[in-house]
Amino acid sequence: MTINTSLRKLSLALALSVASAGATAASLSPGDVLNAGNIGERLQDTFEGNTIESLLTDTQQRLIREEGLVITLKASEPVQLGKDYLAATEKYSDQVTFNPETRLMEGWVAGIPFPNVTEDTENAAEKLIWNHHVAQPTKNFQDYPRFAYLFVDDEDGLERRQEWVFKRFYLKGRLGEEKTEIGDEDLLFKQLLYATYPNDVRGLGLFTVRYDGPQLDDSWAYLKSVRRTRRLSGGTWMDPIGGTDQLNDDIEIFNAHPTWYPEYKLLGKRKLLVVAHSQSKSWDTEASGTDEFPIVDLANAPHWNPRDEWEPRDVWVIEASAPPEHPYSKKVMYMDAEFPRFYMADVYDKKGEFWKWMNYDLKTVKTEDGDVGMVSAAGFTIDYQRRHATIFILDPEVRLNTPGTGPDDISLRQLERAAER
Amino acid sequence: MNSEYNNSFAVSGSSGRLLLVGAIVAASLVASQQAFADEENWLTKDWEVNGYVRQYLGMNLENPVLIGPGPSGGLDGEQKDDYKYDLSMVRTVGKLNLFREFDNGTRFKLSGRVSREYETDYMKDMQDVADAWAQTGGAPGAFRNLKDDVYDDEDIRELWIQTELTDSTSLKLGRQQVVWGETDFFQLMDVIHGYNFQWRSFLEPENEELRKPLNLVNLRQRIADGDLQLIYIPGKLNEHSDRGNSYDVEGGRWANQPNRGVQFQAAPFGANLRYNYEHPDADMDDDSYGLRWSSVAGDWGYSVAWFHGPNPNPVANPNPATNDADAYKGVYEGGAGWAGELIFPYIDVFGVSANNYFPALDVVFSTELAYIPEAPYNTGVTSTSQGNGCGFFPGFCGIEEKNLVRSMFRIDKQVDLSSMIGTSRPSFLSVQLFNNWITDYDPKEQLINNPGFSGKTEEFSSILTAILATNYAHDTINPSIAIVSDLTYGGGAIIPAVELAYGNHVRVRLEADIFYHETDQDRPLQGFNDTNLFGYFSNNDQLMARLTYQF
Repeated sequence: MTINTSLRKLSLALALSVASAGATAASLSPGDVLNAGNIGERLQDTFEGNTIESLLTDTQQRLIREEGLVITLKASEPVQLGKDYLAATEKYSDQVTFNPETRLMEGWVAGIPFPNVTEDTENAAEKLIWNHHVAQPTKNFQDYPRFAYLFVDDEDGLERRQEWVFKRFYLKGRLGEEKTEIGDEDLLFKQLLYATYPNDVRGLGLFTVRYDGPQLDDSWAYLKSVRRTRRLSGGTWMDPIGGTDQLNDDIEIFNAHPTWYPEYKLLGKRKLLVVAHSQSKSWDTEASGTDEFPIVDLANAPHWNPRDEWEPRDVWVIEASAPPEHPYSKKVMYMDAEFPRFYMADVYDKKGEFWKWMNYDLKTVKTEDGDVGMVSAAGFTIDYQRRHATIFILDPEVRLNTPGTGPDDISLRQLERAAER
Repeated sequence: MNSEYNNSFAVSGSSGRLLLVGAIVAASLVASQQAFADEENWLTKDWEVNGYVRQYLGMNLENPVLIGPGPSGGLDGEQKDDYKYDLSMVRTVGKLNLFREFDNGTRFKLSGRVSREYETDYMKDMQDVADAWAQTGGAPGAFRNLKDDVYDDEDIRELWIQTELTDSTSLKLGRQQVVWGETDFFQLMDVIHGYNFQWRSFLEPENEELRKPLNLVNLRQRIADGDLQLIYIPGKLNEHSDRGNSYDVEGGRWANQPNRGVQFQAAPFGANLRYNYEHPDADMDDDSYGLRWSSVAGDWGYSVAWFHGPNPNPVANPNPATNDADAYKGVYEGGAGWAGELIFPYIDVFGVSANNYFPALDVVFSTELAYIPEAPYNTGVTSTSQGNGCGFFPGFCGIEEKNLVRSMFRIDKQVDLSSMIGTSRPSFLSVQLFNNWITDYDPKEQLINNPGFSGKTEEFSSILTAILATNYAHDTINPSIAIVSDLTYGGGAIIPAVELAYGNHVRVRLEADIFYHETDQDRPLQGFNDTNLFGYFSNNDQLMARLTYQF
């Protein structure tokens, strides 16, 4: 009996040992993919020393399992930030403080105001949001001659598209220039956005002024159909943009003044698979059909998944609680730990149910003045309740810091001029 | 003399316009050549081409009054037929736009539009009635063929070149549209151009399609946060008929009730009323000009403007020989036996507009005020048939010039109806109050709102409008409703519509135009009564479908 028992234990141990040997975590390589067919087996595999499970959010795992998301692994590499951006951060960040009473930042001039946030930093989440608000690594002027909105249905695929021009000119925090401020001292930036395609929205445009303060934006629309500008409500920051799945404050994942959300929580810092150096061509103007936008898997249901290469990056996980009148209850957002730009967000409705996933494929580009800046090659806002997506596609001919543009070149008059075409 | 019956000017005017077109094209070529002379395809590259092909179908929801002369040529005619549910409009439109921006910032645009209509049975009958009425005055037939002369159309909508003269000075030269002011539906400072209300009345949502473009000089100077704009319209470089509003005086589908089939230019019994574009005080050869300053003061956007040009609406200059009235400024140039002539006297319009967003109420407030000294009004509430009139029609006692203040107050608000009616995003609600005030009003003068009708102008009058625009299914289904209510003279309109978007190219609009009124006139040329704006639309309820393929 004892011998038999011992033999059985030995057999069991051997069996477990063999089984264990068979399940030994593999070390994955760049180019390996994670998909619905293999994700169950690869969670304990490692990539650059981290388990796949630890490198994926619960949402990412679910989307791979259930929604056809395919992640191609890419070796991590440092993100190059602009020299003027880093210089301003070093020069001015020491003098910046955060006032918990007003929830406002004080003393900021240019660069990242709070570059040394740790998990133990007081008001860490608010400071990271302020970093994001004033110190996008885009330099002084985002000049996008063309971007597209793709409207995608999970069954029918690409329904329609719109093409727009975007120009955002920062009046404060200017980099690489003698003065860090230009024009109206009350303003943070001025922005033009106007449609060029299709014909029924061509000429529709928006001119927006964002204050360097908590007051709501001033904005005007130019309606070409009646050839006239019209003042818009500043209270639309939490409304959808046209027929898209994005709210105004979803642009680049977070587009609100920090004080418009009542509370932020820092949920931690972790390493995640994100698209930090987008490898896909976002827009192939020579191609047509589903091949025109190689960065999106338009050919295969649900037709909205990104096709890109994902690398491990350290990210902050920040939860933003939305105000009561906002459609969302909260956004959980993933910001690069080295610079204030979000890669992803999980959005929850008022009942606390998962609603939308946002994903931005970032890449670094040369600015017109020889420095570098960061853009989103594509941005995915996917509504899993309504089964619909809006995908932002940036024309690769993007420009940052185009010379010869001043604050007066971004104006209501310029909106009219631009829209009348 | 009137260019409609004396086309001697048309030759020189056309030459001038041809020169203008040549100048614009030449300037564009020079600009492009300078910029791209070293490139092989400098002339053909970078053109933006777009446009649409559009089909309209309109259907009567009521039986419009269409009464011709009686068997003996008198006023005892009968309704010609029942047109309820008949097609009122079958219109095909094509528009092509070409645009190019050169590297040196110079911009060029050419936009052309061609419209063709199918002659419906309803249109044929309107034409027949117009012919019959014209013959009662000895004319061989109607003055206009509705299909060929009124509805079919080829138009250069835009032909301009724009260049930056300095960093802050912009010049846009050529055929274009310039719109001032804030007001929806009505013209306060939007008086630079007239509108063509003949084929679609005021209902087309894109009013750029109804506005009559002009050849003009548009100079803009940026000064700090503001913009100074100078408009100069050389009268001789524009078609006379491109000035002022064109209403349906041809007896077509949008003629005022009960005048379908009655062409003013070849009116019953020879009581004609034709346009005279060369009256000494309403000479469309004279130049027009205006100046506007627009800027931002604090949170307020504002503009201040002045414009000198033709009155937007025509007035009837009575023929002293056929009416007990004096001609405008002592000059009448129409036919000897006519009732009168339609003229657009020159006026000055001084205006201000302002807008702001109020976060506490989450509303955008807009206002516009315009002062028009010596605005022309026709006088004489009654016709001779009613007693104490000056002529066959009401309003032919002459033209009085009154000081008119027009005002508009409007609030726009985003209202979230998603939980109530399931919209996919907050809806746009706009409520506007439009007012007229004649500051030197004298009831004894018997000002009237429209010659040919007895509707008397009040010292104060107001019209309330409201628009609610909603969106469903990612803006692919967009229902809206517009409501207009005349608070002074009664009546109004309800216009429910839905716009559907299919992919990148196909757009559909379905619309109902439902009018209501207090008083209308039953028969043409008799029974004049207190009919005002919405009485003119009596019996004109419509269904309209518009299919657009855009590219």
